[in-house]
Amino acid sequence: MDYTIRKAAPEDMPAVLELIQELAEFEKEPDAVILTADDLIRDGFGENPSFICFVAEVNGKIEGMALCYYRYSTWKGKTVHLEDLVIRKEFRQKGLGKALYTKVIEYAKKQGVKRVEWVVLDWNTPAKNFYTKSGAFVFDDWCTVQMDEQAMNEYLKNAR
Amino acid sequence: MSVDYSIREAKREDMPAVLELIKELAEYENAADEVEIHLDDLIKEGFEEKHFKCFVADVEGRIEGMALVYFRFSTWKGRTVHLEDLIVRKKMRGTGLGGALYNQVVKYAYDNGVKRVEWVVSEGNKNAIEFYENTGADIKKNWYTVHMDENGIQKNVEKLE
Repeated sequence: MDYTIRKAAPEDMPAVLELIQELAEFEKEPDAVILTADDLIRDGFGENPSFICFVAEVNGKIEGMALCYYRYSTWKGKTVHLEDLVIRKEFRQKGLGKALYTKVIEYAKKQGVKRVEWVVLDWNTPAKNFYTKSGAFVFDDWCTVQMDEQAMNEYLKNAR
Repeated sequence: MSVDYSIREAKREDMPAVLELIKELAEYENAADEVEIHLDDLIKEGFEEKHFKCFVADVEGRIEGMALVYFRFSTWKGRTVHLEDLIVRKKMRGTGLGGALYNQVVKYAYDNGVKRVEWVVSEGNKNAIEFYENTGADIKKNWYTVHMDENGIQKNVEKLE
């Protein structure tokens, strides 16, 4: 299949949002996405972009995307975090995912960071196997902790 | 034991003490060799490039604790705050510094209008997990962290060349 991997432009964001929604459904959280295409354009393309996005284009249509940004390790300095890598369902198993994954690692290398990182769901065995095979390490003993807006509110009310 | 302290934003000149704390945590985690960062990196990347923000617990002019945060970007929620490290010097634990730094981080996230503040915890650290849960945080046991280090990056890029 012929495809192009390139940096996303603001006008790709509606298609990118579609892919984000598709991934949320795959992860059984269809209502979790509150972000809009306008938010993505504002946050990703200004003077101080919050992320960089790569897309896989097939016949002029966006069929996959990878979104990443810098994090900061107190051991290694700047790192690249891969937040999402999504391929539209009908386009899986055609090499787009691998091409985007490679693009992200290449990007990390060019930025001179010592680490690229991301998270994976424990039940996603094919993904875990793919990552391990490609030289990444899956930490099954580190849990993600999240405090949402409501919990922050509650917490601060009590902490004051 | 309670002590007089102030929680404030770190300055460049606090970075030597912050690096000491980073090394103390790495030693505690049996990973002292993993710390590749230098003082100059912390100063340049924190205060010129602004890749992170650091808060410190100042006890009579000495830095006895620190919390280091930065923004991340969730494709569901937009900007979030990530707490990378929160460290209190060993001999100062149990004095309230950790709780005060934790409050500061949540307040910083709240003041910046983000929808989430997040961090990671080792599954074996039951005390920390209990503390986080008591403060209203949600432990996502089914999300694993994945790292590809420099060697892994190098190997993948070499394949392309």
